[in-house]
Amino acid sequence: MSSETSSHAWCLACREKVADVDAEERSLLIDLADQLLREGRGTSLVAEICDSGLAAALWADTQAWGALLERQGATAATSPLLDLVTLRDWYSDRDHRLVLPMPGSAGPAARSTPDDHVVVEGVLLGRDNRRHAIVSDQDLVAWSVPLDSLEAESAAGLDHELGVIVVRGLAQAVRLAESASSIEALASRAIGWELTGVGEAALAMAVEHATARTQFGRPIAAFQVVAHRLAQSRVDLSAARALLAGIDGGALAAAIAKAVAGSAALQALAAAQQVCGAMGFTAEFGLHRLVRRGYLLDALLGGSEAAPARIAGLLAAGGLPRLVAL
Amino acid sequence: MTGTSVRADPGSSPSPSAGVGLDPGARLAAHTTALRDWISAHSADLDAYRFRQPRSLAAAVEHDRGLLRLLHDAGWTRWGWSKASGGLGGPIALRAVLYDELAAADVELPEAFVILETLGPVLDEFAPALAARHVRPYLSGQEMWGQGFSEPEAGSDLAHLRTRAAAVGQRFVLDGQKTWMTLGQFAQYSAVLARTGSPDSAHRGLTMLWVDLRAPGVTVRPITASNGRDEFAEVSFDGVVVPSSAVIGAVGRGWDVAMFLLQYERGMYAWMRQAVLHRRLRDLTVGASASGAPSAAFAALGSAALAVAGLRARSARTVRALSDHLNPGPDISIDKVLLSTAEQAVFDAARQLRPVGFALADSDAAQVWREEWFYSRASSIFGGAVDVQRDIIARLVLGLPRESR
Repeated sequence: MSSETSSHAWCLACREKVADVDAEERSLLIDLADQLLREGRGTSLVAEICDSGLAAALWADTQAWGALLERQGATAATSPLLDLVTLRDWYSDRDHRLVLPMPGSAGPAARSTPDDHVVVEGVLLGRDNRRHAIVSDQDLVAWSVPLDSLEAESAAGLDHELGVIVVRGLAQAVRLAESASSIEALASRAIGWELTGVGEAALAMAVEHATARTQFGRPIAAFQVVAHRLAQSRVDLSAARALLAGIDGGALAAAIAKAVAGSAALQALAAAQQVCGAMGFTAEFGLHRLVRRGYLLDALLGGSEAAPARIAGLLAAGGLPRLVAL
Repeated sequence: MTGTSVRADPGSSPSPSAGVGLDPGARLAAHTTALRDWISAHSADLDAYRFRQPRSLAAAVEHDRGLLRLLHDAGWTRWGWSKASGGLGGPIALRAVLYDELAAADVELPEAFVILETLGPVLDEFAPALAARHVRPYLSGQEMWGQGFSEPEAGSDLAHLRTRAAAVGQRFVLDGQKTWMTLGQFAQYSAVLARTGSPDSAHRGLTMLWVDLRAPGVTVRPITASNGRDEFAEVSFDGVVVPSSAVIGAVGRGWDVAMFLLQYERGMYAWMRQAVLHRRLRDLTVGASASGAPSAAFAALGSAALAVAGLRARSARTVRALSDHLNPGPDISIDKVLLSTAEQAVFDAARQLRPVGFALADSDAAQVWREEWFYSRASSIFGGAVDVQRDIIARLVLGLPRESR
């Protein structure tokens, strides 16, 4: 079920293709990624990208890494892609992973002390053999921490497939010159793409179900109430995708894009859950994997429901900057 | 206008002409830079146009003519329109840049631009002779046009309109009634969608005509809207003679012309409005702080910002597509829904952030915010109601089955 759904979702996503010279090369990479992610070989995918020397090209191509993360969301797969695109060579060559703040928190995952220690409380997404982590502190300074000095505990929780590990503790750390704010902006964008993938896949499942399911003598999609709810999911997801694709690297832009993506994904999931009815409520149907992934991802770096007030607080007197250029 | 203003010669300005040879993105950037420089150099001239004129629509329309003249004479509104139509050429995106930069400099965009972007592209594409005659007078603020689509009995269901254009020799005789013609009482000409086919020909029997509203048999009556302004007019045609040279496109192909028009009416209009909405958000953000505003109002401001950010991103893609002569097709309905949501979010945030002013004040500023709040209620109705847009998205974008009748 999930593989059929995901390819359908991708076709839907491709309707909004962006003209680009590297389109062919990119689509080969995306096809490969899609296959590996669906086979549960996300770690191999990222290892292959690093080993074949493609990593630098991928970092430079925001459309490509956005598409990979979107695939990951649509297939509810796991991989170290988030670490790769946010930490870059700190992940590929320098043995580091990213610690995100606890779900629901928009604040930093660590507090630093004047004697170069950090108090960490955050999450790693999935298992990996890296021995260090990067955390950001209350002043948006990035620190390198040895993972063996932190307590690590698996948290099956809402989404056991994701393999969340909670890390906590006080550790000696090394202050980095890297901008924690840029890392966080990349993470917001990456998770935003994953969320639009989740939303697109949920919408595709709902479209498929509502077209096939007949009640009162007609496909339920022929009822306007059903059709309009799905149409609104299309609208919300299209805005989110345009924003993720169009913004530059700024922190405010990334926070806004992630909030819009999270909101679109949650609305698409809720619409799908309603439209797919009792069948959608079964484990066999498979929608729950997307629901679990979507709600977990949305809660990272601050949930979309709390975003409006938080974003209003981030607007300077100049109002909303023009985030996307013509 | 002050005596110190220098009339820029567009031929010598460092705008697209200087950017020839650069790639399209660099040309656009060079044009934008030149425009920003001009705007800051003419800041004093533009001061008169930084505020929306309250109350009298007629006064506002007259006032706006000054801005149109200023921008036309400096060449800025002519970029992005074909040379054959009296423009200076270059991609359509140059028009989008102008609207964006004016609003970013706190200049209020004249409503005339909306009508220009609705009807101008149609004349340019389907009626070159009419475009050559009318685009420049419009750009310079001398002429105004109206869009004659909706009828009392044909709103969302436009294809069933009843205004009739009967062919009589080399002419048409027009009979019927149009309504919701924005600024129709100030217009000299109107693009009228009329039936030339049989009464049951639906969208197949329509023709678009360019009608002189001063011709005998035309009656224009302004309609007072819920915001207190005469935003629209009702126009009746009683045996109005229209020459066959006034056909836009071809006889019987009016629906194609209307569909072509809609991508601009929905696409470029949404872009224009996102520029204005950024400006409104800027005004609202001043003085709104977490401590000062009720938390719900503050969150409403954030929601509005999120909606406007999404609208701009989506709309920028659409404008780029239009500029590359790609028709967005039914996907344009997505932009229209985003626009309605953003419009209502911004003015609902304004209402919540300034509850006393909204409810009780009679100052010009309060009046203007209220007018715009009312107008934002119409944004989910005009140009195709959002409910119809969702039908289009469901059927033509998502491929869902049509509702059985």
